[in-house]
Amino acid sequence: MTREQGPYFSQAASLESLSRFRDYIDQTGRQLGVDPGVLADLRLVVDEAVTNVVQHGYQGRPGPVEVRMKRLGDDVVVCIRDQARPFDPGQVPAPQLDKALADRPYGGMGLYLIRTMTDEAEFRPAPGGGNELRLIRRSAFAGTG
Amino acid sequence: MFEIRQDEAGRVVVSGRLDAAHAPEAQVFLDDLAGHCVMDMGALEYISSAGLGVLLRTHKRLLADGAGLKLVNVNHHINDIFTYSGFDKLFEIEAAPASG
Repeated sequence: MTREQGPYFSQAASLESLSRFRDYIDQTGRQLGVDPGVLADLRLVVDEAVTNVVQHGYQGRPGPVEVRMKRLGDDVVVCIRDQARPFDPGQVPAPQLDKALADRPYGGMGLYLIRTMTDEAEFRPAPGGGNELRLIRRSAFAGTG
Repeated sequence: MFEIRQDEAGRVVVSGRLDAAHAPEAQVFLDDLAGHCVMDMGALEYISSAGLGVLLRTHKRLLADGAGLKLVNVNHHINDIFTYSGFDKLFEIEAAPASG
């Protein structure tokens, strides 16, 4: 397993960094020519992933979060790395969308949205510690959808 | 940037980006409301799951008193997120008029 290469946009883990990560996705996506609808989805997906790292991974402790977005053929690949404790997506309960309001839990939506709005979402341990989330959105460019 | 306020007609007006950084501020504001509430989302650019949680909590609390939260002027992208998350079955939602 090789660590993804290339420049990453890096910030200290905090909820205040969310807007900066969204700006990075916007700017990079526009430079790459990503379809605007796809870009709106990716902005949310990265927000959800970084929020999870800050709240559940680091749990308020300091640490870096790194994001990189690049084009691979007609696809867009986004990688999000951290040095937080190991994350096992299998431990996150599904959001139970079919439950009546009174029975519906508040959590679990972030991971669900990540999976719904991408074609692939692979969580894996990063070499040297931490986690890496690799997201793929296929046919992400105008005219390829 | 995120802003939440009540207009002269009593509608809750939200604008900007409702993410996990601003969800607590929105929750504090909404916790003070009672009765039937209408939230105008015309100027809301963005909502994440943290914002969805705020809406769900508020709607649940208001419904327990026989009222509820109605979401109006909802743009296309946010409407899609409501559909993915099953909110279209839980809330009364009015889409924004189609633009341009």
